[in-house]
Amino acid sequence: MSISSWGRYPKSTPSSILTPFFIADALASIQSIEGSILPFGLGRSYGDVCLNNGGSLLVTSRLNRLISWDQMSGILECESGTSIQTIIEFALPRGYFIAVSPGTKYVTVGGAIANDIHGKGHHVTGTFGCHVLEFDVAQSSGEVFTCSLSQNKNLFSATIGGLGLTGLITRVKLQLKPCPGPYVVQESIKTSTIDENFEHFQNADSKFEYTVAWLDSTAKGKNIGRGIFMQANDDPFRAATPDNIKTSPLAVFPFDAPNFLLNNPSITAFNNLYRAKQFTSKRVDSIHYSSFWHPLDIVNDWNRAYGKRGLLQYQFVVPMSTASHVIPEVLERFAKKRFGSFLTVLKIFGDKPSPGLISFPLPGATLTLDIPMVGPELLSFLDEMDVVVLKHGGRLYPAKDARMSSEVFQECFPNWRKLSEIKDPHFSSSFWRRVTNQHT
Amino acid sequence: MKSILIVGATSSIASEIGRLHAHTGDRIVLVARNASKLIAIQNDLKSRGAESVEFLAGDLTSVEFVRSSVESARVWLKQIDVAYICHGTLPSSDYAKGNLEVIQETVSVNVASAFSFIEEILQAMEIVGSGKMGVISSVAGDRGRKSNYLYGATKAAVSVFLEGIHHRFAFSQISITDIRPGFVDTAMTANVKKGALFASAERVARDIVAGVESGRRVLYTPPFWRVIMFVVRSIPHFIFKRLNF
Repeated sequence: MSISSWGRYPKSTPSSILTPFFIADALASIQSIEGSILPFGLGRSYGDVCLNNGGSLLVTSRLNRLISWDQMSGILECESGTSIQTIIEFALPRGYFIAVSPGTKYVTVGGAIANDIHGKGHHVTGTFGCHVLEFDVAQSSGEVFTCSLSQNKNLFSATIGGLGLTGLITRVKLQLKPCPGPYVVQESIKTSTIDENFEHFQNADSKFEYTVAWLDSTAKGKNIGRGIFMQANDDPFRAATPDNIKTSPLAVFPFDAPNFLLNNPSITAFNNLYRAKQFTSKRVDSIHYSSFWHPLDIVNDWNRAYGKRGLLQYQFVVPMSTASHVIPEVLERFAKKRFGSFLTVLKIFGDKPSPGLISFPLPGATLTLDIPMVGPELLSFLDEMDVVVLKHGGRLYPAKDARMSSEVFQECFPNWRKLSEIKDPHFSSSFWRRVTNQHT
Repeated sequence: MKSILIVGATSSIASEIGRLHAHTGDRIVLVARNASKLIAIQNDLKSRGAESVEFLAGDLTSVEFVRSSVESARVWLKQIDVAYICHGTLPSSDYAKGNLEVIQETVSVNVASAFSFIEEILQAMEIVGSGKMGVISSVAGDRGRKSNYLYGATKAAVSVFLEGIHHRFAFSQISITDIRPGFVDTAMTANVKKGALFASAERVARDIVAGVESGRRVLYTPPFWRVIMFVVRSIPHFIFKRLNF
């Protein structure tokens, strides 16, 4: 049975896939496996962080029960396979929302912790790990450790951003944030240069909780960095009702798109269409949270639009001091090489520190590109991009990665050695073996 | 706010039924074998808004436990408004190779235990004069097929039992729903290869709660199975014997 992540590259063949329905069954499984094991949530990461070629995968998506809820404090305890979708649909009628949401709601809490994910509001709220109060980690030895900032602190820290390698997270205690309703007021502004985007990010900083910019990656020359900048806050005037919380996808992408559709003319057309939908230079809308936070969930299986070869996501962050020239340089080189990206997103990271040992964000600007996996020429080009990123004090995001070299990884995350010492010897991933050259 | 009894509460479909009732703030009693699993479900339902959740753990095939658990539920809830019978076992195909123990076990759980709970709960409902019950049978009971006839037979037994009960309570305020799910993605089917016809436990639970509430006699879920099984039942034997399913 072949398993891949959301990027559908690379493919992997696990030796076994276990799907426990209760935590007790999961504990029994991890104590009795032969070889290595890796927890697998809903498979929305890219690359191979969620894969364990030749080893076992422990699917956590059925461990989706709530455990306790405190309405006054907004503290939710749940099993680690609970999805962000479930939490949002539970929290909204009760006046709360998840503190950090990624671009899709189909992500488990365990996966959110293991990748220490961020969203469109990092400059205010930090990463997911900043809002995790406590969790239990079950290891192959049979021991279960309750971890927090005051208990088993090293394991707490290593597990946040620890890519599932420290053991199976079973129970999680989260701090949710108060939220007036399921709508956000979004201002979207057409931008013509990269610097305009950065200006907007700077101006938004204290006034808007959520910011993001979509960039047109097919732009060339002086148009580089043009796009649409979006800033938003919760809409305080539209409360939750039984009808306005859930969303369902409008469509399913029904087949693997043929390769000829993934060429540059299509990508250019898509980018132009996306830009054109912003008719005026600035518009203000009150939109549903799902349109702002989870625009890609509108089409189920959208990754099939990239065809059987899949896609690579390239996401890096560079410090603000270098961002204004590194970002355009990267965009320019992508455009010159004609590696098109359907969706290019720019966000700003603030300086709120994460408790995680290996955490991707640093204060600066982060760019994400979705590139159809056209072949080895893309891989070698991305190696060149890595050099540019590292040279300017930046780093790459493991949750999105399928191909960074071990040298690059180890330079980006010198704490990898500490993770290596503290991780569970029976937990391993294709990603980890690739970037550390270790056998497990 | 209703009073709900769920037998076989740790099953996937039952957990989803429980969640729907938690959402409407009902009082819920759970019955199953395994206390630690019951605690997990209890916490889930309480968190999701159930007015109260109690559980009873024991051997569902023991007559004493059937009596004591239904009595305890009746005392806790004051009256049972809606009861769901959801426990069951899907046997491995060993029985066709001489494993007679599998036959005993399957019949004990799917037939004897189910019948016992049904009768005992009906008695409690008769005291009050009203109540709704949903019992999970299966499309597999609609026709015996070589690949699944032990399970199918136990579910066919359940469906005929319910047919008699419909007759008995035809003009009363007690309604009973024969629930016939098709393929459902649950713990029971964890080792069955999933195809396009598989429905989620969540979707099936929604159909069940609505169907039992409206007092439907026989409920196929999802509804397209009514058509499929009509066709399957209609295939003449001389053709059916050549089919491989």
